[in-house]
Amino acid sequence: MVALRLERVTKRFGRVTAVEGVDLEIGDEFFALLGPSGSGKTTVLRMIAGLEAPNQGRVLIDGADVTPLAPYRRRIGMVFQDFLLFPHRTVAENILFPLRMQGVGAAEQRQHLDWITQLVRLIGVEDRYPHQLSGGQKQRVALARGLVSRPKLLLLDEPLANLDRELRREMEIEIRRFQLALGIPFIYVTHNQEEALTMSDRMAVMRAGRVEQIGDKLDVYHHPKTRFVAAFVGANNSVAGTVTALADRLATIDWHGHAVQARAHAGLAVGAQAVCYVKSEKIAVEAVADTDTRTQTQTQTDTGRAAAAAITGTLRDSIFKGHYADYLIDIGEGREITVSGPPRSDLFSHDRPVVLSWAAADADAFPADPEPAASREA
Amino acid sequence: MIGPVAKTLLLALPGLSFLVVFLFMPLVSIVIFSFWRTESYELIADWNIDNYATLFSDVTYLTFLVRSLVMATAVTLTSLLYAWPVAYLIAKHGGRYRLVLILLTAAPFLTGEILRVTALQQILGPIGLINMALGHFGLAPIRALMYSNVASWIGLTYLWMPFMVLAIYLSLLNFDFQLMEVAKVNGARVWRAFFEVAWPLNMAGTVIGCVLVFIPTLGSSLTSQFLGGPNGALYGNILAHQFGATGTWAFGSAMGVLLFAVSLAVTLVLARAVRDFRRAGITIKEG
Repeated sequence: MVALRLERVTKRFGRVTAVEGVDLEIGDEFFALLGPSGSGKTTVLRMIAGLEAPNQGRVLIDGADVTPLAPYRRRIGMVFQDFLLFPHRTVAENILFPLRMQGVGAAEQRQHLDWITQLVRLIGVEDRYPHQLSGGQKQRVALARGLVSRPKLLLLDEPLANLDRELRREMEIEIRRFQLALGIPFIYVTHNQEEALTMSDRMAVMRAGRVEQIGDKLDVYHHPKTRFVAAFVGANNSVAGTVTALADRLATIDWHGHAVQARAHAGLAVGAQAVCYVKSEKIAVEAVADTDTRTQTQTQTDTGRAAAAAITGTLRDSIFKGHYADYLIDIGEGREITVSGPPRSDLFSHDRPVVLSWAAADADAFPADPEPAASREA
Repeated sequence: MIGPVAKTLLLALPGLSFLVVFLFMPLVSIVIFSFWRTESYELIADWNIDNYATLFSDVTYLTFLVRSLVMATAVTLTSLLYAWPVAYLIAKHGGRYRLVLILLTAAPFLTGEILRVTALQQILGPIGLINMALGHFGLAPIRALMYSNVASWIGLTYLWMPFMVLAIYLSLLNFDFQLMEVAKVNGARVWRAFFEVAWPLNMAGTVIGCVLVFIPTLGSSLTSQFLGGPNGALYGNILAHQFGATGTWAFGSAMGVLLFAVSLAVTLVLARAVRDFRRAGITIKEG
């Protein structure tokens, strides 16, 4: 069932178009709106809440057009980035604010308060003021205020941006739990892909006011449809070169003498420039035996015995992170590639020659020029 | 070498000396004078309470005091209603022109008080701008504007309102306007959001503004002297009279003491509105 629908929604501020022709359909799911700052994701959220009026397009909640409705008539819950608790009200008063605005009776308010403080695990601080709370508690109060009136949907605008790492992890799981418990749509705006990937069912990636890709989060992660998404989602490495062959939806790119294969996306042509993206964890790295030389490895690769793509390099550094490690590998020509994988004892000595490889289906090739790539791209 | 106590005292010296010289000493002297008597324009240290007996038994003086209280209340309320939208607009939408706009509201202060009052006379009086214009079109002049309490009310509001605007504006500078959106999303209409959020969170600024307008208005004499007309005298005019024409300084001092006491009482009553700092959103670091 579609709980929220955006139809060709556009918002302009003066001469700047913040959101352009966005279509979205969201059901009772956890939906993430991911994008860099300035991509228009927060403006989309504010239009759903009624805090901004779209210049064009419609917003429908449960099939009813709410575009002209003021925020207070939409029955939406919202959680803001800076918590934005009312500093002059106690925790209980903050949480009960939406119910008081709706004129709900005192007994029913009490019931709701008991229910929500239990759900968000916030008991015993009802009479405190916001400045007496920890960051995590403030966040829970903000969530409780957003959920207490059982809204039709909950909007979350980067709610974890101001929390420390540990707390963020904990809250990610908690927020996900609330969504499952309540079964209403949660629309979660973030620039942090880890949050989007951890919590959401589906996600939309936005850039410059437009939706680049929308779909199941695994699909967006593993099968980027645009160069921007390929560069922005996941920890990516890129190599650029000339397309030498195109066949069976596979492109072969020449990178300084290495033949690199990747899934071909629209717009590629033989002889044109292309960029190939591959995620850090999809690259296999093998240490070359000390007696081997780089030349020997090169020869092996050229014979086609190795995987769809193979590049030789030198291990510059290994960054041990506990349950995994990042290997920084210098592949020459001033490029460095990061490989993530389980910690291995054979890859902890620096300046070792290594060979990198990945399956063609794990890499994505896009035309090099039509659009500027995300800043993440090396 | 000076110790930490001496350092603190040294730091307190400018403030303390100011208070002693300009507040404490004059105050003590008028309290003392109020228990003396005046004879032929001279103060005589003859201790008595006759001044207060006259002040509280002669209904005339209390009538003028009540008049001044009513006037000050009216001027404060008018300023409040007028200043809030002005300050809110400038604080929220003033952008980089905020400071310029707020200084503009205080621009009349660049001229003297008498000049400003006489300028108002030129607008409100019988041969003033408004009534002249009305006469030009064959209309009757508005008598209420000419040498009346209404004219004083307009004049006093004009004189003191910038303080109200400034106090509320300074308070709004620390106000997070996003909280208004939070209230709206959570079901509050515009006015409800205002009274739930903006009003209580700026109560301290509003109270300071009210005190800054109420107190000077209560003791004012110039405006009513120029604009009030023959029946427009306020407590301040009668008080000034004691130090002028009649030369009864001792009685004037008693009037001054009463004025001070009433001002202090009003300030304390207004301050009760922010008695609970947490309710005004003022957070004080604990420990």
